Amino acid sequence: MPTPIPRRGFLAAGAGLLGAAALGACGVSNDGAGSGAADSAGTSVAGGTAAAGKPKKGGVLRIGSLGGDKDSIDPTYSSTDIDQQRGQNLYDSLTQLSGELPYHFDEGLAESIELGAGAMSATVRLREGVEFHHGKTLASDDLIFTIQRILDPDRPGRAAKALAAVDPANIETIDDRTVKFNFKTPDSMFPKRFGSASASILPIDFDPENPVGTGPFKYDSFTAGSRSVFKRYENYWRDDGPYVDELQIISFSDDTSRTSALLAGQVDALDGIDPALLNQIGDGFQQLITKSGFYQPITMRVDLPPFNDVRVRQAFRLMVDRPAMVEQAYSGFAEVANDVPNPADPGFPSDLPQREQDIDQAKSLLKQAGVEGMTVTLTTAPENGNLVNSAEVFAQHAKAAGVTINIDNLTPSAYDAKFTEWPLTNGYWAAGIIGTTYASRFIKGAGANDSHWDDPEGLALYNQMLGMTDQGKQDELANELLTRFYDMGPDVVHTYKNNVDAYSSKLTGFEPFSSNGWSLGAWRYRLVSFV
Amino acid sequence: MIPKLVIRRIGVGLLMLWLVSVLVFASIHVLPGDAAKLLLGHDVTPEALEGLTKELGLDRSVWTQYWDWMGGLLTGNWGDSLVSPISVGELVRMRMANTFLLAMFTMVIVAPLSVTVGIYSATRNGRPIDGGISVLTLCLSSLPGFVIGIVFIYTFSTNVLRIVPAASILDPQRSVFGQLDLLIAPTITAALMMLPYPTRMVRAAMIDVLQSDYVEMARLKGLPERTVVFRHALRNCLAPIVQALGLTLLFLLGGIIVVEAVFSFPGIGLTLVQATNQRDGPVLQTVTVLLAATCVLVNLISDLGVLALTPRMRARL
Repeated sequence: MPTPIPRRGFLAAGAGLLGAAALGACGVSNDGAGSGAADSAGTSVAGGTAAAGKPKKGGVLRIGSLGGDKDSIDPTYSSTDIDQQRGQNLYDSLTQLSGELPYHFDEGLAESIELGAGAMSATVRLREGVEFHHGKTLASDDLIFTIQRILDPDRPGRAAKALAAVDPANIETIDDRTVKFNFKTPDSMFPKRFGSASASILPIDFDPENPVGTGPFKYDSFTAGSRSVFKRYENYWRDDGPYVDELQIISFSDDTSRTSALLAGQVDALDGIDPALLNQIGDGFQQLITKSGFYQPITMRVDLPPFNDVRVRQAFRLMVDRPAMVEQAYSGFAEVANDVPNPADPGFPSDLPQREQDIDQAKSLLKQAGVEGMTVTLTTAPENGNLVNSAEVFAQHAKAAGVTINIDNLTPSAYDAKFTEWPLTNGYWAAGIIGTTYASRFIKGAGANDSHWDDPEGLALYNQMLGMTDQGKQDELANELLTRFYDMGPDVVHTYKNNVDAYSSKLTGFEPFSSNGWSLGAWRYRLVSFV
Repeated sequence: MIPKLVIRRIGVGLLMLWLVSVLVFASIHVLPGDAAKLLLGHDVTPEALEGLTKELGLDRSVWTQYWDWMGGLLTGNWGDSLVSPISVGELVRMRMANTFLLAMFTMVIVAPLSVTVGIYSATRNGRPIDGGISVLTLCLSSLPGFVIGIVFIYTFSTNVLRIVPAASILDPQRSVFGQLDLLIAPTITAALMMLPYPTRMVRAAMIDVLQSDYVEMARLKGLPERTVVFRHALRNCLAPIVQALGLTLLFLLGGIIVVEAVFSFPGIGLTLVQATNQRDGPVLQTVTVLLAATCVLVNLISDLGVLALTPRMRARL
């Protein structure tokens, strides 16, 4: 049965969403100026490289995406990958997450975002002369409307959690292009909270039936569950695209069917293909392999025995054979990780010794905790590709340490309905930086805190970060915060999963999105053209 | 007599529909999770959940929800999907129209083919060709639908030949009749899946009739075999043929989920599965009741057809 779209994302960071983002960019890289395809993924390169010079205009770009069962064209409430895909093309946000490491943001609709003293406010200066699809020029009233819409208490948008520090009743219009936001609590992360579709800037007369944005493509038609059609917007404010005349995003419910459609020439690109299907993609097609910090950890509830004992958690971290996990659970499309998330964070502690499987030490720790030979149930679901695979592989490794793990494989909806209640589970989380993901997953009471993590010292560090405007000091605090997970965290972060896309060799312009792992170069189709 | 029968059947049918409505409504509320929670995913905060629950009308009591839905159903006000910006009516119209079209095209292949092959097989009963056909139909019926579908895609769409589209991704902005090439693959696959049952029913009925007294009489009279088969025998096994084809049509109208999944065909089967996964009450409940109504109707027509063809039964009424 078709797997539902991964929904667990951190729209919070204006970035973190699905897909895999990672350490070194690797994969087929075709930059927009049309140089030949540099292919390090070992796939066939179609005869005829792109012509030098400006990309060709024209053509209809058809993307085959999984999903459509809960489509939305209203970006404020977007919840799935396919919504994010639409958002990246119809709209812009204040900033744009760059695909390259180190993790940073490029300019978006904001010319500048400056934090006030103590990070208690932020002044946003909007770019001049940007026009919405219906002709209105971007101005302060649009920005204020958008933020207040997101923070509407009766119907909060997806980015409401991320922007929680903003006081919607205390927004000052400095002039027609400048807005000052005042915060209820310090938030030095504010400039990093944009970039996702959920933080798209909408015009003050936004109508979800006829959506209008500033993006490189404008709305033509949208049929929920079927397809969306967008046309090139000639008046786009950036000069690096768009090139294709028309963009069609076509929904599929099944991955195999989607792959057949690519092979039969009915679509031109697939975002996020199951690596098991890759051997079907041969001549005339390219693969785009993106490595990022996207991870599928084993998560333990730290408020319940036996996982409230840090020795047991540490034992679990020592049980897993990481290279085997890469090969068996991910067919090689993953990188070994070191029990710390967010490798793209500038403060990532890369000097921690690489943890390796140590069954003896694991057994000893379990014995000390008095739970040797324990039996426990791991709840999982066939979501996001390999979730069940990695659970099963982990169970195999655990056997060597005398731990019996029974896998409870639920349907995705049954699993999601109670996902914060399972004592032992595995999940999937976006890459990103700790400053914008901590609040979603690691603060007591947070909606996505499936481990029930509650660390007062960590929280104090995080709050310090929020008040810290100096980037260097912010990175130091991030380093401390992330290091805490290495020895006592709730997760076994065994690997970072790669993302693989496939597209026709008639296309060029896809760049691997290593910061975040978003598919097809963050679905930024303005950069794509036909050769 | 016949009108009385029809009225009685409709009465029973309505009662069954009401039962179906209660059952499907209850089942969606028994499943864990609800549309609001599933829509919000992991970014759920108590305020967001409360707001969305209210907006979707899920905060009303179970009875109110049932009555509102039933009332809306009967007055034609079917409401909107909980998870997508589309009205139930539009969704139903699109998906059921697609499934209906696929069903019709499939029947156009299956009906004549199954009758012809069934009769042919029956008249050659016991001979190698009959055995061969039996083996073929047995193989077809034991192959899972997705195997047939994938083999078809492999042969005609992607690997051996590339003459038929692999996925039936219909463009909702254009008429289906302008995109009929997208229906070739699912139609042929569905036809192959559906052929065995009516073929074997036709064959069995015909064999049965060919052994009856009046057929023997006709042969003894010296009538040519063709006349015996088509003028005398066939007439007498039309009833089971109609029943078999009626059941086949019914099956097709419910949407063959496997075919829809393999070809990404936007039919009513997948709509139901997705609605269940998303706990999309309005869609799931309304579509289920509609399909049940279709079932009642098609059964009624099929039974009336059988009655028309069986004078003996009419006399008994």
